[in-house]
Amino acid sequence: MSPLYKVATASLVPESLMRDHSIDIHQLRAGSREAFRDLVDAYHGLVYQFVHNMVSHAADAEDLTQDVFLAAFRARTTYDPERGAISTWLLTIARNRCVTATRRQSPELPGAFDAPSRDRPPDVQAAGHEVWKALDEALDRLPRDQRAVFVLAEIQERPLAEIARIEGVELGTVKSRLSRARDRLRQILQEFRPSPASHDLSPPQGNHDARS
Amino acid sequence: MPDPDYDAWLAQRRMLRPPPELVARIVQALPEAAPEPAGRAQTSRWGIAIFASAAVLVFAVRLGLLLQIFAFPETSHPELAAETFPKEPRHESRMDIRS
Repeated sequence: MSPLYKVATASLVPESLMRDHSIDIHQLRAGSREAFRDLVDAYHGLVYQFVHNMVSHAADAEDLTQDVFLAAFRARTTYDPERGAISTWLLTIARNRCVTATRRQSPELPGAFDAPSRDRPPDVQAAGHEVWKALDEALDRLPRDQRAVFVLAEIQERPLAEIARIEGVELGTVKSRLSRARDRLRQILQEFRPSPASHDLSPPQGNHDARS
Repeated sequence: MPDPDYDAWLAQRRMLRPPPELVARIVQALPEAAPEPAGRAQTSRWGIAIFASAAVLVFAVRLGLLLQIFAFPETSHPELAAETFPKEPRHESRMDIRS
């Protein structure tokens, strides 16, 4: 199985299968570079996807992804498999790095780290998806905490309980942040579609509630 | 009812993939990052040693001062010694007897 395939499936499979990355935690904690390379192979896609959705620009996302893994390597002895999956640990580091980076970049404008994403393939840009551009802008303007929850829940489809651990907040707080983020995006869609029946963003039955 | 544009937007956000060279770049950056914990730990150990030495020194000085006060009160703090250990009343001189 190629690393890319493993990463591509990482967010779509149950947590128990995500551990099937043959990463030797003991070796990783001991500082083995081989084990660290396995870790990067297995999870760089997951981390990059989260970071890119947090900061929009690909170059920033690559730099931050590198920072996340180097920070993880330095803090490798703090990882405790009993306390959570390695993906949760990495996403927690990634979340903190993104928040620090966005705070440094724009202290007065939470969530407005970058201009809307311009890193899409040319054919998508040429298609002129005005709705997508508006949604990109809305995502960029979300407060940091709402954006992180939205990216983890809606885009990466992580369980809400895991998001609560990553954010270090109660489950109810995660749900309220997600609800506010969805409301914000719903408002954007309403501007494009006056009919209220066509922009219901609520998840399908048994989606997030079931995962929580 | 889900919005198709919204679902398509989410789908393309989920398709964001890292460039193939990112893994090599991260692993290459590792040797520069690796010595840092050792350096930090070394710095931290030196900091603890300096702090402990300073604390021991301060404690020793204070202990010495206390010993000096109680062992040799007259030389260290005469006014305190006068209050704490009053001298015997001096004998009256001849002049005083005459008067």
